[in-house]
Amino acid sequence: MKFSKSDSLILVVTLLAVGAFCPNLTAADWGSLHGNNRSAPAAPAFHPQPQPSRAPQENHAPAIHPESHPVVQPAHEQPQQEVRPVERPEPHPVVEPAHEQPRQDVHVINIQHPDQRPVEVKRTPAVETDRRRMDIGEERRQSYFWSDYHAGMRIDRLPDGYRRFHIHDHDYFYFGGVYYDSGPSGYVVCAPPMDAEIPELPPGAETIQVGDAVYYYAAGAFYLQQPDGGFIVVAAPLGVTVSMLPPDATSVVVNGVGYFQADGTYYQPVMQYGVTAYLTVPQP
Amino acid sequence: MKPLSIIGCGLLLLLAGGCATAQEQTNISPRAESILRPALNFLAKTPAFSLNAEIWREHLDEAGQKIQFSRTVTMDVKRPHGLRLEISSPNTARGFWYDGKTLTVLDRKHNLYSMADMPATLDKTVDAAHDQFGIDLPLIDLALSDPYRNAMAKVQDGRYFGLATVLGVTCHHLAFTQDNVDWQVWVEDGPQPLIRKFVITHKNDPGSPEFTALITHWNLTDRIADSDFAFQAPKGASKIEMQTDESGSTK
Repeated sequence: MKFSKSDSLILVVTLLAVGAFCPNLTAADWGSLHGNNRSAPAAPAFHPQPQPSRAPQENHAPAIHPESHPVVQPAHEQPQQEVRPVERPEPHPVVEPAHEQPRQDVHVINIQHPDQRPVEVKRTPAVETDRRRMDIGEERRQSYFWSDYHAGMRIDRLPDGYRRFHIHDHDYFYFGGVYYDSGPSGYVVCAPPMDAEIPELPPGAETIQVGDAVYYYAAGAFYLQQPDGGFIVVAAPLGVTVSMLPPDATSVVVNGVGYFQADGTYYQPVMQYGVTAYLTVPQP
Repeated sequence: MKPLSIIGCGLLLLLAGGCATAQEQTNISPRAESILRPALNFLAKTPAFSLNAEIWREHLDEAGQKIQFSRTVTMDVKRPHGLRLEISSPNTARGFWYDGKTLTVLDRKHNLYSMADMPATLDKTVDAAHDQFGIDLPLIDLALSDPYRNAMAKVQDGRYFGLATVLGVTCHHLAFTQDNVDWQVWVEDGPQPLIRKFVITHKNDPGSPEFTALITHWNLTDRIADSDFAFQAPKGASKIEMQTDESGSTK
């Protein structure tokens, strides 16, 4: 079917008119009609969802009530499940260095170092669903198992349904976003070990898009999904904003500037959507 | 005229007509209109007011369970360029100041604040805060210079549901429909037609979560000083960057 110039013109005018007349059909805000009415149609933003693991699930970890303290028992019980060690012929996805050329959909900002040297990092636009829930982050965080644990905390007994890792020649244990190391007696909560793989994201994971890469963040760890469906712990990408600090983050002041530090990652507080969020920055 | 031309023109008329119908306020009951318009015009003519409210937000968690979160809100408005807002709960407390020049957001829990230059009127500032920084303040509809026009901007249908009691106050219950949300409002039955309750239903979202506001106290008489809208940083507070909204979802 061939179109004449006049036909094409009519079609173009028709399409333009449709765009001009039709109202916005989507909502994006919460507490006012003004916000809802002013919001544009949902941007064709990527809303990635983690894909289910293709690896067979031996069992699902039962819920552990955060308030229930582990019972003191000898630490010799058998783990409920083994987790395959991460032995890969291919290197893990590399976190983009801060000096790489930015992709088109990554916004570059300058973070002012205390020594006044601007450092170029990339900031990722927040996913809409994350934006809406940010002002209730404090409450949501308290509902997650991992919120009651911090690095250095000792427990006598691992939660039922824990997983065991052997990674980097060391045994670790995992449950609900919390990683444990063996202690002199019992277990000690530790930082998420790099390259550890879990079959499912911890509760409350935020989605962070950096260019074409999709990171997930929960309980102070950043994850990338693997082809087998699992998620591995990776280094924090610079220039991304998260709504919650890791449970064991500590406040540090460098040259009069306040940061938070956890597991080698520095977070700078920023005001995002009217609430405090945390931007990953180079070590100040 | 060629067949394709006829089809194109027909499609154009059909779509234009359909969209225009969606934008027009053609199905609002006279009773609903007769209550909402005076109520919001009464508010628009009030040069300054304060209110206290309890707001509830529903959130669908990862397990699909609908959870309600609450905040208390205090709002001081002095038209045309004064706004003071406190949003708090046992977990969080945030303050907002607008003095005709600057919008300041204070995170009281972390003692952090952030500032941004704003236009000279409250209406334009509300637009700018939303468009530039993705800030949507609860109940800000009441602070706009023409709250009736704002409320009815996208309404397609409005109905009246009779009298109801809200926090012991007899109110008229109205409900309105839009493409993106449905909303209900309860207007006090009396010489001062004040908004007592407000509900927005996000009907297009999974689980249709709602925002609910109960306005527990109105004060239309106390004088509000201009200095109340000027931000004074608390002792030890640190200033942080106010990030612009680059998600593309609010413009």
